[in-house]
Order: sequence, then structure tokens, then C-alpha cells
Amino acid sequence: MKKVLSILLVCILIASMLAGCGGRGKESETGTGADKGNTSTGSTASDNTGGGGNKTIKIALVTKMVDSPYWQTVKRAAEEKAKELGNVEITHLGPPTEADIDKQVQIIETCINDDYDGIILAACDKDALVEPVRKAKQAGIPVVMIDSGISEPVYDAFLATNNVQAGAECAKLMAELIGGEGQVAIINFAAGTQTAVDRETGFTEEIKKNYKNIEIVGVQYCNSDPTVAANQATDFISAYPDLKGIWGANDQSAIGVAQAVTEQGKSDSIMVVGFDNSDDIKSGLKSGVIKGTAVQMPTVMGSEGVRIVVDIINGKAPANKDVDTGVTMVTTENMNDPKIQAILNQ
Amino acid sequence: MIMSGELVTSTKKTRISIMKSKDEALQKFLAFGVLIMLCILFGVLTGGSFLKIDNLLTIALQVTPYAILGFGLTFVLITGGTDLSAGSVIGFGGIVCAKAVTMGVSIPVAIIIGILAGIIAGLINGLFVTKLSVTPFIATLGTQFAFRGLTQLVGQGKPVSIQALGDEKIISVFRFIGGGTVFGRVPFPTIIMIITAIVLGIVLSKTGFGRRLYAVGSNEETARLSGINVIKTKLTAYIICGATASMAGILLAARLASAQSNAGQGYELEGIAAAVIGGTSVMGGEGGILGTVIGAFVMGVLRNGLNLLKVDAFVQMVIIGTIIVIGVWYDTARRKRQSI
Repeated sequence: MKKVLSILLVCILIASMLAGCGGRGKESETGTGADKGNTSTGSTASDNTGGGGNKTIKIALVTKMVDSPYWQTVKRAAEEKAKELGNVEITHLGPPTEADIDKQVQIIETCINDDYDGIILAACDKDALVEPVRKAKQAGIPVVMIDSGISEPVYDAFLATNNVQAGAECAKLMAELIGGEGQVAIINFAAGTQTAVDRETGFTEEIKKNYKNIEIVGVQYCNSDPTVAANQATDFISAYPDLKGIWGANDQSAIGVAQAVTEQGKSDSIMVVGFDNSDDIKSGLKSGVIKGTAVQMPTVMGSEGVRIVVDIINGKAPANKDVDTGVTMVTTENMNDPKIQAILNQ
Repeated sequence: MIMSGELVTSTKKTRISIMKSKDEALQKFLAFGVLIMLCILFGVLTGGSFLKIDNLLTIALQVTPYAILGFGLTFVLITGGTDLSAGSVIGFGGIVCAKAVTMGVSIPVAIIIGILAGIIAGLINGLFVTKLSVTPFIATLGTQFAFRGLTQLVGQGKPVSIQALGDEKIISVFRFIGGGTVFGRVPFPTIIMIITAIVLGIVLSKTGFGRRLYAVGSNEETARLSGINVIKTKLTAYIICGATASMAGILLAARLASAQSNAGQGYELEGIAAAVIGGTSVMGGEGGILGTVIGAFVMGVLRNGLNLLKVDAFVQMVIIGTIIVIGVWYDTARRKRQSI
């Protein structure tokens, strides 16, 4: 047993060493494009290159991964903007998973060597991507961050949801739903994660500041597990018989809360407000258990990202370095509006 | 020669098992005592609202997935092994079942497919541990990642939503399986948990397989020498664990009418904690299903009671963690006393 284990460990060690060498090798022979496998095929948006008579602007859209629907939405919006502008070409690149930070670093380095005119980047890691972005800037390539930023402001602009503001929007909707008074509970999705902290801060500050008659009775953290969220929400309902509303701070939390409220037969008396958007959230809105949800705007990140990069290339600096792409509050009342439908299905 | 060998071990076994049953009964009694004490304590502190039937039934629903998972883990722990991949198998079983439903497979068949997925996962774990002799901790740590990856692949990183099908009939059947009530207010999943407990309890305490399991866990070499097929016994334990994990996963997915690709993350530790609090030894050779039921309820009662008492979420984590350590420490101390 021990022998097998030690052989196994040696194998892992050797494998990881080889993998490390392989990575470095690849890095040194860049210049032929980023990892082929991770380049999403057919992502070149505009083929009317000669249209404006100008030189085509080549923009690399580098996301945390390529395949997820969220990033595909960003990409689609970027491509639409590119088509609208006429002489812009978008190439969508990204590592296989969000955890492949090294790969993303390599991709940025490749982009610099490949003479891209601009980079739109959603950083996998806020520290590891600082150097590559600095290098790109030194090479004269404008970099616009979207969704997830980096720890040093070496970029040209940062487009993201301001989660504090978004949390406050949820608080406003909740206050409106419960008539400005009563007890409210929060199911947050993680303790100590920046996004989660920001949302919770935004929500609680807004309530404290503007709604003196609303009491936040407690916060529980469900680790993005809807079943845990459902259990915690049920316990909140048992502990506070007069509870008026529960806010789920991401999609899984909200689904769990909705489930608990349904099981307890309280969907008329307890208002559920969520955050984000998914098939299950949509069903919740349709059935009326979830009264509203804050939907982020990846389309704005994509299209505004392209616009700002092109503006910088044309010599126009962005007005603000940090841009809040905002959230749209989708409610049971406005969800059938075609404009809102488009956001819900983006 | 074989005859005499069998004779010796059988007398030894009966002696061990008598000792063990007395000892285990004590542990179970203690765990049960702790459970009752907690109930009384919370009952008083909450002014009776904890002891309301509705709240007790809520707890029963809340502990059901952990308990069912704990049953399978009890089998594996008795062999002296462990299964860290059980949480991932929860996600895998649930998402496979939900995916099958969204692809138009009928509900009973989809459930069977989901459980089969768990059984295959258990078989893979078992083969790593037995045929390839990889330490259970390492083998199942590896498969924990692998099965989670498979789950994400099936769901493409997103939940597989049965709700989104929009078929009210299918949705209501799943919601009933995962959170419906029978006889007025008893949660249906809890009934499934009780039936599973009875079946697996009988398997463990009344069958030859159950006795072989304890023998393998107490002393693998002795078990092998006395003619027990150690590999087959262990393999079966891991398969049972995979099956119970996927059952728990299907119940979780059914309750929400949506299978989450991150479902069950960290649940293996809840299951192990339930088993250990209930008197199952992580060193193998000891444990039982009733103990695990009690252990799961101790955890569930603590969580619910602290919530009703409005204890801060972070303080709760400290309290629950401390109680698990005390439980295991007590178990170890008792064992030491006994060996002296």
C-alpha cells in the first residue's frame, strides 16, 4: 500500500513538473495565436473590412472562459457593436476554465505579440493579470476591463456591475413590496467574498438609511447551495412569524428561498427578491413566488467595452475610469415588457 | 484445516461482536441522550416553538439527505475506508436524473438511471480502493474532483432545470418526491429515509454480508485468512455508498425541481459527522444505521435550534464544529479506556 502510494506521488510530481515545463515552452513560442482549442470558432464578427476605408481594428475579447452562456452573451453584444461600427473585428479568447489563470496570462501575452489593437479583459485573478495588462499598455494597446477587475488601476477603463449599488436596488424593491415596514431576512451566498459582501452592504445600508421601519432580522450564508438556502429560509420563517420578506443575494439563494416560501404556503405573505437570472429564476417569476430580481447587464459590458476601446484608439479617452453597467430590476409586473424580456433572455 | 480455521474465527467473532454490541448500545444511548437533551434545551429556550410538530417535521425534512448519505458512508466507514467523493456523487446522481427527464425519459426510469450513475461511481471508487489498493482517502479525493467535473459537464456548468420544462405534471411529481407530505404533514422524503434506514439496518445487522463487513473493518488480515472475500465486501460497501449518495442527490434535485451542478458540495463531511456522532468509528469495525440517524438529527436539531434562537451565522459554525470535535474526542477516549 505504502509503495503504491509513494509511486503514485512520484508520478504526480513528475507529471506536474512536465506540465510546468510544457507551459513555459508554449509561452516562449507564442506569436502564432493563443491555444487553438480555446479560441471560439467563427468569432470573427465583421467581414465588411473594406467598408469604412479605414484599417480594420483588431480587438481581442479575453474572458474567464469561453463556453459559458454568460460569456457568450458578452461576446454576442461585442460582435453586434463591432458590426455597427463597421471596421472592427472581434476575436474571442479565453482559458478552458476560470481557474486556469496561467493560461489567461499566456493569452494576453500572445495578444500583445499578435498586434491586436485593443484588449477587452475579464480577469481570472486580480493580481496575476496586473503584469500582463501593464505590458499591454506599455506596448501601446488599450485595455478595458469588464466584469472582474485587477488590483492595480493600470487599465484604461473598468466596466462592471457595482454590486453595492445593485444591492441597494434590491433593498428599494423589497421596501416597495412590503410597504416600507416590517421584518426582512437575508440569505447571502457566501461569507467573505467581495461580490457577496458588496451586495449585502448595499442592501443593509440602503435599508438603514432610507427605511427606518424595516428591520433586518438576520443574515445566513448558504454557500450557493439552494437546499441549504431553503433550510435557512424555513428556519427564518419559523423564528419570525411576522417576516415580510427574504432577499436571496444570488440565483441559487433566491431559488432556495422561493422553495421554502412555497413549501410553507407563504408565497402571498412573504416577498421574495432575488439576484441574477437563470431558468429557475424565470420559472419563479412566472409562478409569482419570486417578486423581482436584479439582472446584470453582460450585453452592456460587451458593447460598451468595444465602444470605449475604439474611442481610445481614435484618441478619445473615456470620461470615467470605472463604469457601472448597472442592473435591471425585473419584477412580476414588468417581466412581460418586450424590452425586459430581451434583458431576461440576453 | 479450513473447518478449524472457521471455528476459531467464529468463536472469536461472537466474542468480539458481543463486546461490540454492548459498547455500541452505550454510544447510541449516549447520542440519543444528547439528542433528547438538545431538544429539551431548545424547547425551553425558544419558549416551546422549537417543539411544535411543524418545526420537528421541518427538521426531519432538513436532515433527510444528510442521513441517507450518512447510511452509505456508515458502510464504508465500517470497512475502515472513507468516501470523500460522496458529495460529488450527490451532484452527479441528481443531474443525471434531471437531464434524463429533460430528455424525455419517464420519471421512474430517470430515477433508476440516476441511482445507476451513483452505483457506477461507487463501483469506480471501490475498484480504486480494492483492485488498485489506493488509500481510500486519496482515491476518493481524486474521484471527488472527477465526479464533480462530470456533473459540471452534464449540466454545462449550469443547473439542469426541470421547472424550465414547464410540464406542470412532471414538476409536481418531483416536488412531491423531494418535499411533498403524506399522512397530513409528514415529509415524503423522510418516509424514504426511514425505509432506507430499515432496509440497510437489516442488511448490516442481520445478514452474512453485514457480519463480513464488520470483520473486514476490525481486522482485514484476519478476515482474509478466515476466508472472507475482502475485495467483494469492500466493493459492495462503496457501491452502497454511491447508491445512497445518488438517492440523496435525486431528492435534493426533486425538491427544487432543478439539479444544481454544485449540489452536495461538502455534504460528505456532514454525512461522516452524522455517522461518527452516532457511534461509527472512523477506524473501522464499528457502527450502525440507527446511530447515524441519531447523529444526523443531532446536527439538524443543532442547526435548526440555533437558527430559531437567532444565533449569528458565524457563531453557529463555531458551535457546530466544536460539538463534532467533542463527539469524536469522547468516542476516542471511550475506546482507549476500553482497550486498557
